[in-house]
Order: sequence, then structure tokens, then C-alpha cells
Amino acid sequence: MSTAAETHDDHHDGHQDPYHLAHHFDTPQQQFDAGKLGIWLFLTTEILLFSGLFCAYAVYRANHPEVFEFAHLYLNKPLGAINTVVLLFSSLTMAWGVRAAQLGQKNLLVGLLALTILCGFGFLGIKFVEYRVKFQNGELWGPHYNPKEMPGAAKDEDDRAKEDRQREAERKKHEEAITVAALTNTVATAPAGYHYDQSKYAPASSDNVDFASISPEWVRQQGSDTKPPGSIAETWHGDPPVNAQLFFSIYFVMTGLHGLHVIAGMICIAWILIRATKGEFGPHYFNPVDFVGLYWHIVDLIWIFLFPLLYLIT
Amino acid sequence: MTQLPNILGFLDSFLLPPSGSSSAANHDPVWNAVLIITTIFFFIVTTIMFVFIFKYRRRPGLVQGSQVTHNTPLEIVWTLIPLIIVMALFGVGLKGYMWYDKPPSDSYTIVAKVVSWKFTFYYPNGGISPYLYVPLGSDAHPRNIRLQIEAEPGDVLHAMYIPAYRIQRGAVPGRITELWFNATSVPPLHPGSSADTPENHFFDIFCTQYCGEGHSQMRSRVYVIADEAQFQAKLKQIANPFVDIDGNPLPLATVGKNLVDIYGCNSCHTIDGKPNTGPTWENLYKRDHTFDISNEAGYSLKATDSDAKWDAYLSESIIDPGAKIVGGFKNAMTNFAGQLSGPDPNDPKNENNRRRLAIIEYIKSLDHTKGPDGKPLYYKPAPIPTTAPAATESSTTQSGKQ
Amino acid sequence: MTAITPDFGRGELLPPLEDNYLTHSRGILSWIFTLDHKRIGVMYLVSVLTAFFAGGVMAMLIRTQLLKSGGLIWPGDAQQHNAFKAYNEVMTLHGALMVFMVLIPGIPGALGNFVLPIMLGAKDVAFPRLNLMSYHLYLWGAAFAVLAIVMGGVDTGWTFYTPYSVKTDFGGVEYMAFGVFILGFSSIFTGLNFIVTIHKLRPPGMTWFRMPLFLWAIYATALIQVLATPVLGITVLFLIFERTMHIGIFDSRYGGDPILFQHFFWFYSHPAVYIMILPAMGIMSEVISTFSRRHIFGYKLIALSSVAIAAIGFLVWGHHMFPNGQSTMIDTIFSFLTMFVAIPSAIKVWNWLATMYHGSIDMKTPMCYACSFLFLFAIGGLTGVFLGTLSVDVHLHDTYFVVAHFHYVMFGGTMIGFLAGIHYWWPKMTGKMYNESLGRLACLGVFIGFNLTFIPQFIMGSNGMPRRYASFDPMYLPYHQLSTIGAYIQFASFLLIAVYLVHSLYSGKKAPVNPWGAATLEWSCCSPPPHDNFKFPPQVGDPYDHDAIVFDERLGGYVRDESIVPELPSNAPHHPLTHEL
Repeated sequence: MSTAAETHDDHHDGHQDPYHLAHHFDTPQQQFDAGKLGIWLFLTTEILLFSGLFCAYAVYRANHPEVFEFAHLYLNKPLGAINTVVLLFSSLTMAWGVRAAQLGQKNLLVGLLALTILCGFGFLGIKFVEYRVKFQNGELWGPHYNPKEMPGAAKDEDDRAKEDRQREAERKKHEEAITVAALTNTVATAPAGYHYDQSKYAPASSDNVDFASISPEWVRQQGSDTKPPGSIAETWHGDPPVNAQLFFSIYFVMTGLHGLHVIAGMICIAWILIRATKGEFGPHYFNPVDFVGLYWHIVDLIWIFLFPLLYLIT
Repeated sequence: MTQLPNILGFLDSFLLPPSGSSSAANHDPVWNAVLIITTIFFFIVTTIMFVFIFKYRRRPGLVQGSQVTHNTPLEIVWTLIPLIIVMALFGVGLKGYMWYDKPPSDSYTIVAKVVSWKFTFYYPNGGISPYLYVPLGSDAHPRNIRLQIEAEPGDVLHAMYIPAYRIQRGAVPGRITELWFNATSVPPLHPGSSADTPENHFFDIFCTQYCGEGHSQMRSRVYVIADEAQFQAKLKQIANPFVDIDGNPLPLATVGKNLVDIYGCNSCHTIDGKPNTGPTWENLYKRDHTFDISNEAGYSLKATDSDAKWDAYLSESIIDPGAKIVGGFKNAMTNFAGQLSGPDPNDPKNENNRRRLAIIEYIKSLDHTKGPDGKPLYYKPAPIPTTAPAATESSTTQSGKQ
Repeated sequence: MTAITPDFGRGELLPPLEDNYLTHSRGILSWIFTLDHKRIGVMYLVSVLTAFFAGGVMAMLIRTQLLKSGGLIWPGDAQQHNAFKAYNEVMTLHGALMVFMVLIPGIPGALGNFVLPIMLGAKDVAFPRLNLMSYHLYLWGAAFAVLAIVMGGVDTGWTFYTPYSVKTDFGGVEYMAFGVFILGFSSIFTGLNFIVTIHKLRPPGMTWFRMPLFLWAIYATALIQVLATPVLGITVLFLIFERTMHIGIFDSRYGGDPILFQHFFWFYSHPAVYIMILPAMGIMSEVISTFSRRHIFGYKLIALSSVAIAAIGFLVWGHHMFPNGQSTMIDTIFSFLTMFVAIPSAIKVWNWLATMYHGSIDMKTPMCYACSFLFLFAIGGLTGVFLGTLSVDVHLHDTYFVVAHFHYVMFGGTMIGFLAGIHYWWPKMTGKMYNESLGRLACLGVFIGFNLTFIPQFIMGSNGMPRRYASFDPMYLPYHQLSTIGAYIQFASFLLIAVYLVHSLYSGKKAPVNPWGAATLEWSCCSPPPHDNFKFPPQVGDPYDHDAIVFDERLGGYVRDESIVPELPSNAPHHPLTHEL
């Protein structure tokens, strides 16, 4: 995406320079080296862009491991695995395409580039299917999190009803416990003859303080309205964790941004494909194929990290 | 604490606010150290520069010396010395920070609820006040105060800063943070005060984390009460807003006026007719009202309606503000059911209910309609109780509850 | 390959002025679609100065508002603070315009683009079309900033802290955030271009340690641009998603953490301040050595300290967040690392002073700005030590002390450096000389006005005046009044600068090839340079060897004395086309 591929000098000859040498470079080798360094720098910026996302993932997973362990069960592992294979295969065809360009094998190059784009479509298609399921089932981010069911197998009607009643009872008990006195652990009545009695008050040091028990009601209430209805899943025991929607926030931003990069990559490959059909590439000049190939490998590499981190949490 | 040369004391007198606590005493020597060192380096650099500009100015006959481009010993010296100095400053700063880090175990905790755009302090005895009242301590006998800072979950970031004590801490929704100090002196008269009264001897509390349009007005005060007995009395008075500091019962409208400061009604309701987020309270009572939204079809409120209907409306406006919205205003009012209503809104013994009635009394008192005899036409002040009402159960007005 | 000496010796008149980069082609399209780095640099300069003017107007509004304790332009009090919304928007725009549209792109875009290839001895940057795209992205970013104002404005402060930036009902936040995103890519591509240019397009004989220090500074800046800016990209994307789709990642009600935003934001924004200051420091190295007619002292250390500042600058972001609720251990680590980052800057200051020692100092306008820089940057850097010291920062955080500190380094450092660079390279860029007396007068005006504006701010900050306040306690009034007077003096001085610079374009004296007597390569091509920069490949020598440069009365400028043969580097490669990394 960053090479100067054509000369723009005024006084150039009638025929196309096969080396596509720009006027400010001395030799084609220098131009190639510059382009290579340029694309690697660009890929570094892409990695840093995603590293912010991985950081957010790491922070939230460290602080709320149960959210990730629970919510990832909603993801479809087989589809994710197929996507991984598809992208790996597309990296193979892309790298092979670069080799074909270097050897001047035009037809092979065109075929491989087309195959790579096809793989890209395959990847996007599977992702579309996954997204559609999630949208339909309410497995979304933030305030839109309203899953129709728990992850895993559903039980039959009676069991479900019994478990619903059980959970309702537990929830009521929990709510009663909440309405105990607040922060300072006392029901304050200002006694006549007030005196300065330390023992009643909240611990002064924040070490060993169980903030949850002395903190205001809103902290305790934080999770109480995000429990999804439905039966208890076989693969998850107990109540679903609060703030499960956090997983989906991370999931959609990461895979969404990755998907956008896949699309951008496919557009670049299509551009290369058109130029390849015109016979522009050969042993003397294959820079754009090489550089777009590198970009496609990074896009693949990012998915290689995304897949286990999102789908394969044990 | 080491003795400091006088020049620093002079500089600090206008560079720093008056020092009011042991935390300031912990901070100021470090500040002075940094000040001295940075000032020395500043003078070194600028003096050299000005001397060179003058001494080596280009003029006919100036003979340039040899072009020295390296001097390794000098370069090492001017790298290492600043490095050692900044590391020393780091150490000193860290020491002061660690001293400050944990509140002492004998601290008296006051909860500071930080909400856009006010500070409210909840005392252990159940009292609530927009200002911070603390007892006077000393280095030998500290009276450590710990402020437990809480922000509301849907709210934005704030911070609490007490310049005189050199302490500040952010208020983050979802976290509880803390500050502590030991007030070692009574604040001097606040600059710009009109009269030298005890009310005007306070230290400022500012919000330092930008939080929107009310940020620069989000302020409070620290009052330091030297006499222990007075401090206890003040606490008692805060807990029981129905009496004054000597324990005498206050007129209900005055109680309501004080409560309005605590519950922050005045951030949206003016008392002088000026427009604001909510309807002004001046001349509100017994006037015709039209409603854009109403939970009762065909509801109207007129000047001629009964006292009971007016009382019911005013109570409902506080407990369930979204039920009826006056024409021209939005549904923006916080719901005070948790703070100003008991489980049974009509229970006259419930503290929250009594406070709500006091506020309603105050609203009524702002009606300036005069009858033909020159006396207020609609507002009839409630009789002042003869005995001080005991502070009753106030189970739901604890700190932290919305 | 033998070195060919460009022959501007005593016998030859100045080359004619036609066919320089300005006259090479005509028409607005030849500018919009130019691939010439010099034209791109000039366009950046005009855009950046326009943004500076807009940001400056915002600043004047801020200072005027603060002439009265309740607010002069937008009054308010504890009950009624609706009017402060306008102030908050002005305050935000001042910061956002200045940081994202002036300080970050400023020196690299305007001066770096123009000077770097010529100073390097190359014909252009490595990727001219990418360079043009950088500029077009800058314009698009600016367009989104304007769109943000139209779509409801922004009042979050330039730091966009959550949750306020998510909650505020000012509708322009997502547009401004997207504008910042685009500007970020403009910055990334500029940095990428510069890195590749310096690695791959150096002429034969120019090894790394024969490069002028301005190029080292630009190189270190470019490293930061490429590595840090993507994190800003993801941060604003998160903010946009949070605001528009409520993903909840910074909302504690959904399990998110508002402080995470601050970590992400400052991970970029701290290195960003080094993007701002490093190029200015590079300009200082050039200007001080040229106007002292002395070889720069401690070349290698200055070069390496630029890279050191870039590296250490990535490790200190937490010092913007000391009292915000993070743990003591994190605060300790960040304070420790913050102290380290002061040292390379201090090394540079000592080196510049040593360069002036036994020099022959000519206080032309660029040198006046350079000396202002030394003074103002010293104050800025030293006051940073206050803020890096933990227990003192607890007192000073988010007060006007911080405001004064960063204005001293960003304005007194970067902008003064920028002005020095503009005045230094103005003859080269435009072919005209400006009025020297007015230049020095304006420099004095800026210097005095600047100090009058910001020294009171230090004092009121340490006295407890918080920042971003639209109104304040009356006890701070005298400081604010002094500060505003200083601001007006500065504004007048900047108007004066604009006047005499524009005037020079029409009636300025024709500039000689080398008016200041510098030894770097850009001073051996014409003023203004031809389209291809050099008629002959330039001869690479020591960029600070002033012995061979002597003044020629007839030409009114400096020329290279032919009787002094410059030594070629002993390690000049035989094959001139080997470019190692």
C-alpha cells in the first residue's frame, strides 16, 4: 500500500519502465528495500492497534475470569476452527502467489490471488453466520445483552420451571440481605449524650476491608438485574456471572475490527489481481504482491491469536 | 521536621496556601526541596546563557577559541549529578507519599458522596451535611479523619481536593477511594470574606477532575472546630436538623431551608424566580399549574385547591417526580423516595417523612402572596414545637444510598 | 564515484530565480495533487498556522472569560451554570486544535517535510504519494473537527475522559474523536515516510553519525509517531463504540472501568508530547550551532538522547494519573521512570550551552527564539520535576500549576522552536528575507507576554486553583488578571509576526543561498530550491563544520571556501548504492 510504483516524472520515455522505478530512487533494489521497510512499519502499527484490544481483553479477563469462562460458551467452536483453517489456507495461497510473481508465472499468480479472495469471502461468510445467531439470540454487548437461553443444552420444561423457582427464591433472599444497614455498619440513632466511640465505625484502613459488605446498596445491586432467564446449562454450574455482557463487548469489537481488516485486505488483493492480469508483475518487479502478501499474513496472524483467546478458554 | 531558612517560609507564604494539617507539614519540606533545587538549576542555565550571549556576541575583532566538541569528563558529570539529584527527589517524594498512603487505624471515618455537582458528607451518626466538620487535632494528639470517597455508578469522574491539606484523590464510579488528614489548625479567615464570623473560617474543597458545566462550582468547605464539646454539639446538630446548635427547636421552614442545602434541591430550583432546570419555588404554592405529563388523566392543580391536595402534590413531586411534569420542563429530577420517604410515606414518626415535610414547609414559605391585611395569604407557618424532637429512626437515609 | 562540488564560488552570480519549486508548475490542482515534498511542507505550514490562529482565538476567549471571578463572557454561579457549557466547549477546542492540529503535525509536517529530504541530500521522501495522502488526511481530520462543532460541539476537554465523554449530550464528541482518528493516521504515515527515507535514501558518505541533528530528532519523532499513534487510534475507536453502541467497556455498571480509558489514552498521549518537543530540540541544535558558528558540542550524545527520550517516553504514562485511584506500587514505578526521562533533556540543554561557549554569537531572530527556548524550556522541564515527585503531585495535580507546566514545554518549547525554525528556514522556503528588527521585537513580545501569562498560573496553581474552571474563587483574581494581560501581549506579538512574514513575501529582500552561514546540505541549493532539490548530487561533509563557510559581501550570504578542502569520511563506501539498515 505504500510503494511508489509508477514514475511520475515529466520527461519519461514512451514505453513503460518495466522496473516501475520512481524518480527519487537510484536503483530498483533501493526502491524494493524502501517499500519493504515501509510495509513492515505499517504492519507494526497494525499490531499496535490490535494490541490495545488485547490489552483490554487481558485486563478484563484478569479481573473477571468467570465472565470469560461463562460467556465464551456461547461461541461456536467448530465454526471458529473452520475459519482458522480457511485463513491459514489463504495465507498459503497468498505466499505461493508471491512466489509465482517472482517467477513470472502470471496465470498461476492470478489463480492464487483469486483463491485467496475466495477464502476471504469464506471467512466473512462464516463470521456473518455467527453474528446472525448472536443477534437473534440477544447475545450482544452492553445494554443489549439479553440472551434467550443459557449456553449449552437445555433441559425439559419441568426441570426448567423448577430451577426457575429455585433461583427466584434465592434471589429474594439475597435482596433481603441487601437492605441491611449501610456503610458504617450501624443503624444510626443519634443517642442522647453523644460520645466518640470508634468501635462502631467502619475500619479505617482499606486493607482487608470487604467493601462489598459495607458499600452502598448500588454496589450490591450491580448484578441483580442481569441474570438471563432460562435453564441452567450443563456446562456451567450455578448462576451466570454478572456483567457477562462484557465478554461480548470485547468479542464484537475485536472480531469486528478484524473483519474490517479482512475486507480491506481483500480489496488490496483484488487491486493486485487486476494489475496481475495486465501482466505487470514479474521477476523484475513484484513489490506490490509481496507487500500486500505481508499485510494478509498479519491479518491471518491476528486471527490466530483471536481464536484461542476468545473461543478456546478452558 | 527540620528548621527551614526564613526565605523559604517567605516564599511559601505566597506560593502555598496556609498549612492546616499534618499532611501539609508532610508535603511542604518536599516542596521546598524541589523548589530550591529547580530554582538553582534554573539560575545556572539562564545565567550561563545570558553571560555567553553577552561575552561571545559577534563583533569585529572577536577571536573564536578552538572548536571543542567533546569533553567526556564534563559530560559524565553533567549527566550523573542531575541523575542523582532526581533520584533523591524521587526518594523523598516516595517517602512522603508512603507516609500518607494508609490512614491510621484510629481514624474517624466520614463518607464523602461525590455526585455531579456537589459534595455531601455523611457522618457516622447519620448526619448529612454539604460541609465537612472536623475536630482540631495536634501532632501530639492527632484526631485523624478518614474521608471515604464514593461516586455514583452512572455518574462521571470527580475528585476531591483540599489545597490547605495538600491532599486530593479521584472519585471513580465503581470504586471507593480515600483521603485522610489530621487538622492541626483552625482555618484563618477565608480571603474575600465580608465579615469575620466563624462561618467564614474554613478551608476550600474543590473538585479537580473536569466533570461538566458544574465543575467550577462544585465546592465545599472544611470547618475545624477547636473545642471538643462544640464539635460533639455540631455533630449532634447535623444529625438532627430540627434543632439548632444549642438544642432548641427550629421553625419548620428554617429546617427545610437547611435541608435544601443538604439534598441539593437548589441546584435545580431557584428561590428568587430565576429560571433553571426545575420550576422556581418562589410563588409556587397555591398557583395554577398545568402539566405536560400526568399519571392521572385530567389532573389539574389550581390556586383554589385544598391544602390537602397541595400537600399530596408536593409530596409526590419529591417521591415520584416523574408522575407529573409541569408544562415547559423536562423529566430530569432525581427520585428522592429513598432519602425523603419512609416505607409508609404518611408515617409522621419516620425521619425521612419529617424531613420531607420540612422541605415542603419551606417551599410554602416562599409564597409571597399577601392578603389584604399585608400578611401572607396562603402560607401559615407551622407552630414551633415546644420540646426538642428526638432524632428518630432514620433507617434509610444512610450514607451512600441514592 | 568522485564528489562533484556544486559551484557557487565567488565568480558566479546567483542562479536565476525561475524554475524553483514554487514556479515549477502552476494552478491549484498542481498544488492539491503535488508529489513535491516542498509544496506539501508549505501547505502543511499554512494549515498548521491557520489552526494555530483558531486555537489562539479560543485561548483569548478563555483568558477573557477569566477576567472576572464569576466569568466575564459567560457568567454563572452555583445555581446557574448553563453558560459555562460554552466555556467548556471553547476550552476543549483550544486543547484539541492545538494538540492535534498544530503541535503534533506542526514541525514534522511543515518543516520536516520541507527540510528533511534536502538536508539529507535526497530528491524526495521515500513515498511521495503517501506523503500527499498524509496531508489530505490532515485536511479530512480538520474537516471532522469542524463537523464536530457543527453537530453539537465537544465539551469533554481534549483528553476525552470517560465516563463524561460518553455521557455528555454535546453531539460532536464522536465526530471529533473520528477526526482525531484520521489525524492519527496522517501522523503515522508521515512518521513511516520519514523513517524509510532516513534509512534508505541517505546519499553516499552520509552515515548515521554524519546526519544533522535535526534529522536525528525527526527520526526519533517518527519512531514515536509510528509506534504510539495506533494506540490512540484504538482508544478513540473504543470511545466512539462506547458512545454510539454502548459497548460498556468503560462503564462500571456493565463491568467496565473508566480508568482503563485513561491508561489507553495516556499510553499514546505521553509519547505524543515527545513527538511535539523532539523536533523543536532538533531545530535548536541547528540554530544554536549556526548562530554561534560553532560545531555542536556532544553530537553523539544529543543524537542518542533523542532516541532515549523516545524510548523512555513510552514508559511513563501513568504519571498523568497519580491520584486517580490506582495502586501505590504503580504510582511508585511511574514516578521512578518519570525522573529518568528528565535526564536526556537536561543533557541536551548542557550541550547547547556548551555549543555557545567561545562561539561567535549573532542574535538574529532565529537565535533570539533559540535563547527564549532555553529559558522557557528550562522552566517547563524543571517544573515537571515537581509533578513527578509523588507527594508534591498529590497537591499540584489538575491545578493551574500543571497548566503552566505544559504550556511552558509545549508552547515555550515546541512553538518557540517552531517559530525559530520558521524564521531560520524562511529564506530557503520563500526566497525572501523578513525584517530583522521586527522579528526580534516580536520575539521579545512573545517572550514577555508568555512569561506574564504563565508565571502567575504557577503561583495560583500551587495555591490551589484547579484547572478547567470557568469561574473561580475571587482570591485568585489578581493572578488571572495578570495572566490575561500577558495573553493579549502575546496575541499582539503573533499578529506582528504574521504581518512582517506576509509582508516579506511581497517586498522582502531576495535571499541568498546561505544567509546564516550554516553547513548543512539544504543551504547549498538555491533559495527557493529547484523542483528536484539539487542540480548536482550534494557533497556530504560534516554538517557542523563552519570553518569552510565564509561570508561573501557581494552575495550578501555565505559560501563555501574552495581553498579549504573538506575531508571526506574515511568509511565512504565504494559502491554508492549500498544502503544498509
